[in-house]
Amino acid sequence: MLELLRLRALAVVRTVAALGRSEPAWAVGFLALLGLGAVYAWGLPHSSSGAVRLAVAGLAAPVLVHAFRRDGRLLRLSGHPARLVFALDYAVLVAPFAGVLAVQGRGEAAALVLAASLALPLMPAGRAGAVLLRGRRRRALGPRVCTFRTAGGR
Amino acid sequence: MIAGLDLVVPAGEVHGVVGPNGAGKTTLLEAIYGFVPTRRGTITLRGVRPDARSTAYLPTENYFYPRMTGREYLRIFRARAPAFDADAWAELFDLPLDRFVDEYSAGMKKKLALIATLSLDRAAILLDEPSNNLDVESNLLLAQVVRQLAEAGRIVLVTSHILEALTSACDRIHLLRGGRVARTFGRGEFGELERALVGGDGAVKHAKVRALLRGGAA
Repeated sequence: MLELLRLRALAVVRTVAALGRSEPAWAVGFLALLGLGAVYAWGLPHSSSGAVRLAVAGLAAPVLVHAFRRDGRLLRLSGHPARLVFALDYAVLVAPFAGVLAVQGRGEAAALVLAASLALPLMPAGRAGAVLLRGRRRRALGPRVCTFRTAGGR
Repeated sequence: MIAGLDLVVPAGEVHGVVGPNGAGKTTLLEAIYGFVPTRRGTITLRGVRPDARSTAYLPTENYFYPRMTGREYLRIFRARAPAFDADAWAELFDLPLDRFVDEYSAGMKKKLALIATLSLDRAAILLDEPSNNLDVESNLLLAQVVRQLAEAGRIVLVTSHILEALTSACDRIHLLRGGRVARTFGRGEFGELERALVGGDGAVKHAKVRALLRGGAA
């Protein structure tokens, strides 16, 4: 399974690098936004409501990934424990949020975020993606502008 | 939905499944593999319930991670079968393994998924529409691969809507209608299969098509 995790991490790095090469302005903007977000997040747990907001934001990332991911079947077909792979993915995703919460003295919120993210794989994956995909397929049947030219015949 | 289906596939034989859209071909394979739960009935492979350790399954639609090469994709599977020679298989199917899968055509993706399925080296192999998007040469090759897998003692079950793809590789073909096996055809009976698929009213349908193309009613 380590090989799977390594290859996927490599693919993510390539995707980000490719984005940076093709859309450098967008990539710089995204990194700046990420940096500002990190600074803002660092100060959030000083209040209880801020800690809750950070915990919710931390959970939103794995929830979105889980709702849209489509690799569950591939993992099963290739003989990998899909739920364990998902849990590892989500632990990595929430780690920065849980880390900030823990360092800022909100250990219980950090543990809760981590536990919730690890429980997420128990729910069916990719449902939102499947629904959207069905919608897109239906839309594809709609009328389109099309030019078709023939030579000869009827 | 499948109901009242009774199917026996002996080791060393290639069995095909054909049927109209919605007949239950994919559902059957997914039920065997365990993707679709069964309410009743039993599915056994050499006496026990088949699972991912005993069965390899090639679905109709396959997922590929973005920015991953064909070689890396196979490595996800190869972790389970280290002796598998990916390069030899890729050469056989004329597949450039060091290109990103994102750049592959639909046929190349199908070849990659097929090679990955074979790499698992399982006792039973379920192939759902493996001929889709493959060129003529690859389809002929696929028929040979499937036959040799059976000769090596594997249990092979293939679905296809391309009849020729099945008749060249299968020992038996099961015609699925309404979720059950309507009839099983042996090697000598494949000629009857086409007539059975059309449903005996081939001449009527032919006349309807002609009328529709002329803009009139049948």
